[in-house]
Amino acid sequence: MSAITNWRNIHLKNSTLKDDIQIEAYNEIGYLMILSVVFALLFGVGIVFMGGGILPFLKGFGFIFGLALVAYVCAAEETVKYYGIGYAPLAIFIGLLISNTVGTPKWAKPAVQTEHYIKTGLVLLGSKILIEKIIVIGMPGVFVAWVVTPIVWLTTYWFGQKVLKIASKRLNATICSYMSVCGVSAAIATAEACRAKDEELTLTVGMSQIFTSIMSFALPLFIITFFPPDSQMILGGAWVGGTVDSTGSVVAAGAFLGEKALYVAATIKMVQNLMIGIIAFFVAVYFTTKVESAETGHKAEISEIWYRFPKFVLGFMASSFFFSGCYIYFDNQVSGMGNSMVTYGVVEGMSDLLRGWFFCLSFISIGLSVNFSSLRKLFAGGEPLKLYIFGQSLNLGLTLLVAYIMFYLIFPNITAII
Amino acid sequence: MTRKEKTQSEKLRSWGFLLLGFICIGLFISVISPWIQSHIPLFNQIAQISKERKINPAAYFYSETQASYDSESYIKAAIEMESPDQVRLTLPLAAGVFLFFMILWVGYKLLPP
Repeated sequence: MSAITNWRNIHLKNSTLKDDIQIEAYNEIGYLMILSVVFALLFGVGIVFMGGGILPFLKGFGFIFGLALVAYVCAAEETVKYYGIGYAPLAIFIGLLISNTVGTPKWAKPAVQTEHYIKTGLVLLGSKILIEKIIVIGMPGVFVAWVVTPIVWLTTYWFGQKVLKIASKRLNATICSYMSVCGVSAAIATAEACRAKDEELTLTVGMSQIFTSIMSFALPLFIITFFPPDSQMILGGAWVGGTVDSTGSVVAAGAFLGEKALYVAATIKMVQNLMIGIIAFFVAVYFTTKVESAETGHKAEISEIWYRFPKFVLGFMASSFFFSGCYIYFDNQVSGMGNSMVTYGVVEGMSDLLRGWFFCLSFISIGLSVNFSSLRKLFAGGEPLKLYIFGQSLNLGLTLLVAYIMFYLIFPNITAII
Repeated sequence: MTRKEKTQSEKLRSWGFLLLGFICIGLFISVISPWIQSHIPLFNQIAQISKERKINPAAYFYSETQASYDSESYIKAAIEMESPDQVRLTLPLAAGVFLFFMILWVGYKLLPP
């Protein structure tokens, strides 16, 4: 077994070295220009249907696309990547920098269409929520990912409302989702589901990213220092997978701990990612039926609830069900075909690429429409920070406890197999 | 200072801050972050492993990193070989999912409006 492991490690190192010496310069500017035209026309159609002017939109879109490109280039820098800092916080920061110094140019404002970009990206995100993947790691995965998370979400939300008395319920909900589910994707879906303000999403992503970067190496350090060696892989991996917010950071931290820790951490995180749609649906229902009714002072009729309900959530769920159905159908025809057709074909081949760009465009738009003074007001008293710390502490404790119970007390056979 | 001079000086100051902001981004990328990486040994180790394994630590979703697919394949294959009933939709697994929905339902009922 160790001979096979050694051979594989040498093979991996050699293939990496080959890639390093075969780097060639390439020019993507032409393709990027074509891409910007395609996106401009795609979103332009939506603008026309929404009653907006297409020419002002097209005039400003190049500027938004250019800034998104700058964010992507900065995020591609290796050292920045290792901190787990992706295009999202960089795009927000670039947008904030422009809007709070020279100001967003008037001719670019028609193209600042945060909701349009973000909702299109969210429907595409639904195609990745392949329900079948929930069974991959069996019962322990379901309990660590799907039972701990809603408990943490609900407790943290209650704490934010009853103890900290955070004025903005929407900020409260967005932070809960970022911290307990899976980072940026969950925060975006929740923010749109409860119609959070751009400032609230900005604050959530900016504040939480710092903790994600710290946890991505602090947690592995804690595990190798304090965990018994025989539980560092499975228990440590499950703990990292259930608590570190960003998927990339989970994978990196798991890889540091070891091969099995990587497998367990990445799988737990994947199972957690599947929950985004349901959490977004729950938040949409809760805010539409309870919060907005309380804010307006009267109980809403069914028609009014339907009118207020964020319809993109239905598109998200429909996309998820459709592609999950396709995955199961293809897999039943030929084993592994579901993966080839849906995961590698639709998701990796189309959805990932487009969704990344759409989210980047939306974060640039968010940054361009937010000002620092509104961010300062939201952060006043440090309540969002206290909320995050409380929620993450609860998440760390509860995930560790449930992971230990599931992997070592109730299902030790699964732990032994892994 | 006249109103026109004041507006012009404000504009210059704004552009100055914008340029400073981009310089800060550049400094963070090229100087500060490599410095931090080289001075925190554990962080440096994680960065090296990420580089060797071609892991993107900035990925936001499981489908953006190959390691997620590899992990899924490994775990599923390992459990399927020894205990195939654990990777099907069994009653206990369905009970776990049902518990998830029950928790959300209770939360919906009890959360403050």
